[in-house]
Amino acid sequence: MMLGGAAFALFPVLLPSSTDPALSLTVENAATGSFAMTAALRWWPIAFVLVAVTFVHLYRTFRGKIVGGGEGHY
Amino acid sequence: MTTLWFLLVAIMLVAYIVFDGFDLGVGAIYKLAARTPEERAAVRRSIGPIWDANEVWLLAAGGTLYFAFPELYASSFSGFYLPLMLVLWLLIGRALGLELRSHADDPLLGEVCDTIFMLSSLLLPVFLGAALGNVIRGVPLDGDATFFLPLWTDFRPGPHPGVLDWYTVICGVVALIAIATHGANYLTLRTTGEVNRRARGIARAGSLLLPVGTAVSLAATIAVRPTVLENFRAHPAGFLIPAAVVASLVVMALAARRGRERTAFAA
Repeated sequence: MMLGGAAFALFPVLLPSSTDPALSLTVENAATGSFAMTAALRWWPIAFVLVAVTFVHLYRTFRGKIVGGGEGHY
Repeated sequence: MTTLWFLLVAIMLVAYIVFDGFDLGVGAIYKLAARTPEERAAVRRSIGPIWDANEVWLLAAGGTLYFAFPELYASSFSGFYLPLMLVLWLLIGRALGLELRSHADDPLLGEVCDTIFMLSSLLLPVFLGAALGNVIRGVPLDGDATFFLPLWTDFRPGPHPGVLDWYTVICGVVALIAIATHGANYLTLRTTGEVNRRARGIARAGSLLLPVGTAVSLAATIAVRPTVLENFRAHPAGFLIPAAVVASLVVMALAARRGRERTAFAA
């Protein structure tokens, strides 16, 4: 959340310049083409759902208290 | 559209801090929380199967950053070359320490793995926090969007800063406290016995230290870069974010004291 606060405070600047504020990189001047952004916006949710499903499965598999120790790979 | 991608990259970075944050934190307090070989094995097993899944978020955020803002990626990766190399080595050291540990039959080799794992888990949050500090403070970008930062200069965030100055070091230390507390809260959830008791103690200490650290870093941020407040003044809804930070710090401190593990970890 602190990171979120920092992002909110910086926007639209991505990387501020300490030599001259006008030279800072912003979301506008560092962005890629609009076609690429639109296309990627269709793929991003698919990947996100895949990751979300994986995470739910992973954390369900390994929930609960660790008892004992020594056995297994770790 | 660019705003949306800014938001998505920010969300993925936050996911990285939340998920990989706790296994980094577990690593950072590894030898404090676990003393005997059995305890250490239990701690390793608590994060063993999931730590690399958590790092997916770092890759995803990095990839998306490269895709959405290539110029930023190019500029910052060449400018932050030295610290990025260090971060890379720390990530490698952590992975090797954890994954090769079980192949080390010799107690001395095991100790070496443990030490590398803990040391790189300790230093990573410091560097990640310092990186955030660098981005807030600003870097000496010139007209063609390039810059180069030495690791340190005179430790002052002036016009010729280094990667480490007093401000970014504060950010790094606060990040370490936050990550270690997060990791301790995770350990109290996943372990029993002595490890659980020690992790509980660390979490309690962290929940008291963290508000202090947060206040110090906030004051330092405003001193170094007063313009950070402009967006908050222009859009008062943004104050919900710091309000949520304060709320979660309070909830975490209370929950840690009363032994409510789940609540403390969620906060």
